[in-house]
Amino acid sequence: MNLEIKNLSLKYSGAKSSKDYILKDLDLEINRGEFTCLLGPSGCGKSSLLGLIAGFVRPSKGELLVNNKKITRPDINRTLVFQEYALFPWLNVIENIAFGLKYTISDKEERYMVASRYLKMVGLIDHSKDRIGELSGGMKQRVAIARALAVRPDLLLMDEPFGALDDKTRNEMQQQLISIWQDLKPSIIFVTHSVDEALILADRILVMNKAKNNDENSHLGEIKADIRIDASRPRTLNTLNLYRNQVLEALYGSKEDQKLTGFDAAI
Amino acid sequence: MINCTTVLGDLKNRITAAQVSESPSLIKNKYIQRIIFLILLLGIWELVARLRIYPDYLLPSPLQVLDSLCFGFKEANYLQAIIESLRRVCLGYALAVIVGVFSGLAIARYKVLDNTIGASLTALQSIPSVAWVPLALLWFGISEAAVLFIVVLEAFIPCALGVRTGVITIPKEFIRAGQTLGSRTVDLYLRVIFPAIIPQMVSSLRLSWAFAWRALIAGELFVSGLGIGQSLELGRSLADMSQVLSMILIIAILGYLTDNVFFRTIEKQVNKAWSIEHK
Repeated sequence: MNLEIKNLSLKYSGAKSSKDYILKDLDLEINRGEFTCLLGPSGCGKSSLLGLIAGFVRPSKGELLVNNKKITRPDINRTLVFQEYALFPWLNVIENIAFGLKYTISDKEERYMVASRYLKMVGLIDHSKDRIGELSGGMKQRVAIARALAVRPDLLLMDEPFGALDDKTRNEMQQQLISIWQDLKPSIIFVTHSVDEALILADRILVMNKAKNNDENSHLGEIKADIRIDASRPRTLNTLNLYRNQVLEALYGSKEDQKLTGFDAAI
Repeated sequence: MINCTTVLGDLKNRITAAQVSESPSLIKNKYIQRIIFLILLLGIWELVARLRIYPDYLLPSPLQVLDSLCFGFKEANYLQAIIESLRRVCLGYALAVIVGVFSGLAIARYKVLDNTIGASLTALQSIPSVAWVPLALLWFGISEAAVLFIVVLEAFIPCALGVRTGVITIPKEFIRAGQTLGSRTVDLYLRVIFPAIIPQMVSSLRLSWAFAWRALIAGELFVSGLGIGQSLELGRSLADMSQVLSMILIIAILGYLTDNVFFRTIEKQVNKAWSIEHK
């Protein structure tokens, strides 16, 4: 899978003037099997970019290509994991995972075999018949990841998937995600506002922030830096200081920039 | 002095404790309370009836009503009237649900329909069903069609509004999750949207039923044939208050059983299965 973004612009939906952009003239290329993190504060356009890649939102200008094919709508080849899980409460765990398989595997028995395999991969095989409401947050997100991966997408999109979890669960989930990714090698685009999370996970960090602009009401976000993390896995944070400094510099810039963006230590 | 107050305090505590523990939990049980209330009510009614302040034909005693009920079931056509009314209300209700679900989906899907039809439905809902009776009689004559018309007109509105609200308030993530997992158009409705609105649907269906039931009785009062409403009206024209009260009792009991027992149980079960995830 190769994702190409050419000259992409997206206007703010409540735009008063035609100049009010969220993203403008963005060019980007993401290679097959790469783990990319979109890192930035709230309102920098990273979730909008993910929505465009997923196909929920249409660009105002420019185009997005997957394997040279234009993205026009959501597709099973680009599945998404949501922060709030979005598991279907009317289905049990295994039925949730098998949901998308209906479109890729015609035989029902085989569907459930495949679903079980992914459930095993996330370590929840004993919970296959559980109702969604009975699961903890971490378990729900494991099921959501299994559901998104089971259809074998080329591209897995993750929108702050661990943002609602406690620190301990979050660390476990990060390790598990890495090992699954190393196994299956889908391309992953992972949105986060945690610098540490991006450092632990990514091959490549795209640091996003609000564009330097004199107009305070501007919604325009842009990619400030494109940082490659060549450290081997599993990683520990204290070996990543070099990269961290690069990321922080891209985020904060000079002190004047900091005031302009209003971006604080929340990340 | 100190001793005295502690003793007094202690005594007070004991009394309160005794009061709390002694007030038997039986009386606190809401069902027992209801039964006691009913018995009291019947007792007062029987008493007033026996005092003969009003003639029998205006205020029969509870026992006379019970007599009339037994007679009605054994010798007259009460059972057939109930069956006929239930058949009619079920038919009207089914039609209302079909109309309601489809119009609700359409309103939720197209903004222009929501702004026009959706808004008028709310206004329409404020019209009591009995206000439609003259219109229905003129259009359909003194017939079952007139009753069905009133029932459908009353009962489809809560259903349509409920479906609309349900669809509009579905968490966006459910739709998006369905879409990225490959569901489109009809499949998205069948596999995501319908299941997602079931809790809202059940509440609306319950409300629709209550509306249908009221509309049925109102409609039946004015048409001929067999039915609870007709029997009620017959009781009035024969000046048979026992029959009138018997019918009112039947209406109350059937309404309670369907609404509070049948629908409430389903509603509770569905909410239990669904709501945990919504929190």
